[in-house]
Amino acid sequence: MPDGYCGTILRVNLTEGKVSRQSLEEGLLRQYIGGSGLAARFLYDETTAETDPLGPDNVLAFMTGPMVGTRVPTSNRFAAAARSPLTGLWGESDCGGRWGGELKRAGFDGILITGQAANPVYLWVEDGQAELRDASELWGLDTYELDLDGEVVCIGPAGERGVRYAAIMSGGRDGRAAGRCGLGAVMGSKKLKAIAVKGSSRVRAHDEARLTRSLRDILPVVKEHTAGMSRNGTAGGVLAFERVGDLPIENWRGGSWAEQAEAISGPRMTDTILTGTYACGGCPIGCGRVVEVNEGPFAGVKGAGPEYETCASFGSLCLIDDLPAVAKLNELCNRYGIDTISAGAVVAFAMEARERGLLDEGPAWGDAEGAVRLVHQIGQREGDLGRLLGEGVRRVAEAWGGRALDFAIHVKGLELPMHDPRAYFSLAVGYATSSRGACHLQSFGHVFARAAATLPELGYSEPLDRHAAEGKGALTATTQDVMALFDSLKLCKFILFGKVTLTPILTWLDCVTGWGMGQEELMRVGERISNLRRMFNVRLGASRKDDWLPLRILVHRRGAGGAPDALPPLGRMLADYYAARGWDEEGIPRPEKLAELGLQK
Amino acid sequence: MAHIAIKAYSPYSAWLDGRREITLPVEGPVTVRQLLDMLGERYPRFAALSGRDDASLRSRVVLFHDGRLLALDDVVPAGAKVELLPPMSGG
Repeated sequence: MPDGYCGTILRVNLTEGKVSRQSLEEGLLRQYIGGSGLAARFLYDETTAETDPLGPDNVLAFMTGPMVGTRVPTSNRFAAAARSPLTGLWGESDCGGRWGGELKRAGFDGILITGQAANPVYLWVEDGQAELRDASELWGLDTYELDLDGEVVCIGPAGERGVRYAAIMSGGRDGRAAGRCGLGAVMGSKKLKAIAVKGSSRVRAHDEARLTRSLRDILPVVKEHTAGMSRNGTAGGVLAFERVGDLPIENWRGGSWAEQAEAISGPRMTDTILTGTYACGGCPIGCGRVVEVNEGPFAGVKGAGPEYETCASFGSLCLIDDLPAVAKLNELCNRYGIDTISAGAVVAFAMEARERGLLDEGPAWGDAEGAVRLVHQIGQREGDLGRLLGEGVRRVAEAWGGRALDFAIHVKGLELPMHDPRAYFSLAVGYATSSRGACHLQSFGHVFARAAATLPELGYSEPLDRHAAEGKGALTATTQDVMALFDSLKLCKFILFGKVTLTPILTWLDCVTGWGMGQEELMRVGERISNLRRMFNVRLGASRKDDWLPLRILVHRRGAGGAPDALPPLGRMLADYYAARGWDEEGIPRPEKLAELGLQK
Repeated sequence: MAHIAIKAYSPYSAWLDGRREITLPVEGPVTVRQLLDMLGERYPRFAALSGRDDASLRSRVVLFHDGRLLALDDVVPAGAKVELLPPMSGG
């Protein structure tokens, strides 16, 4: 087994109450690396088109990668994956914190969970040992109240009650989330409250001295170029995003919120409610915010502060220009264990439904206290509205029908994240084709388009015309493969802002594993993972008909702001994307492409 | 004398001695590079932005005018209002 890996995963069958070990073969690891890639391989092999996302047959994977637990910066992460109860398709979420490294130090590269416990349990893992323990007394606790020894991932009441966008949380008040795709509901359906891990071994790198030399050169550059994020967190960019038309406003109708955006920005947070910062294990950036609200209607908030996505989803998307309110909504979501992106999108959807007369209760635009009440209802699945909205915007719109379908903003059932494809056309094809539904992180297209991150090894080192369609299909295919590698190596994408490109990543992979893998082989791994996740969805019936954007994004000119008239020509970019991928015109990978990647049946 | 207005958000307003808006006298159009040098001469904290390339500059501050993020070689006309915004970061 190469260095960097433990060579073992845990298998947990909750129906039988059994825990076992499985050895991993080096060939498998070299083909899929870890994290998302390894999870995709296991899930493709061990689920079927009939697998119920909330049934005992769904497989819930927690996977680390070779760099996790080493000194490679920003690599202390893990992937959670399962068939998503929100989209019905490939479900995946990436999470920082410290749990991933702790699992490696406890001797495991990952955990695969199947079955369904009769009563609530949690999994205890310590230095090569693991056992299921009773969690009856823990069921119902929120994620801040849960207090277990070791590093912990857990669900809150929302996951227990099947909110389809429930998150898996880590780190308690220093909250980190595997937020997207409703994997917390999968965990809840299995009656698995938490996984607590303690490990004391060291994750060895193949060439520690070379790794030290590489880090000595690179870390100062990373720190220099991410100083803004260290200072103001991920919400530092709110104002600039608003100016270029990237900040979504009023459920994706609005174009400008120039005067209000500052009120929900990272600098405002720094100047008012920030009390500290925190970093995931081994991270030189430290984008995590600690906030405290001491006065006003939202006094009492204390702990993890809102990230950019949350400032936008509960702020500009809902027209709430009140940072303490956004911090309160963020804390509620963290405690209940709910994805703040989907939750904010659901609240904005409800606000528009109320405006249009489809709802006679719930908050109006900008009603922060009403939004707080609604998030409580969703988290507790309380009342008809709370139960319904816990299903996500797609299911609610389908239940209501008619005009509601026009303003349910999602792709494949996953609510859009907080970057507007009308500002960066690369996001349009990225959202449409992401295997988990609308996702900015699976392509990072807006970041590469403005050259905030570069891949000179692949020909992307200069800013691109953000409103040109040409080349965006190929760009998206390439960057999705690179991001698939990040999600499998378990590197944080924010290190790209530190001017890290493929070359140092190859160096680090070699320092850790000793594989001597070249760029061509690494990119082939990324492409293999992208195609396997696509095939997971194809088996479930997905094709070009699903690679689409909400009508509002395609036809609604916002008329103001930094991209007032732009509408992404998705069909053209999609055709280019399929061609770049070697998929047919329906978006199905061609047999020869699958054979080339070693993915033929 | 013509002017270019600078509107600064936090933290850059502190760099301008706490002022949210200032004006700089100009004789005509100037490049962003020249604009930053002018700011650096009057307000020392801006001097640290001199000599950077575009990527390095944008990791510290975003200059925005007329619907565009400005690059160092972009020309700003007299009479313009340039905003100083925190870097785009995160996701």
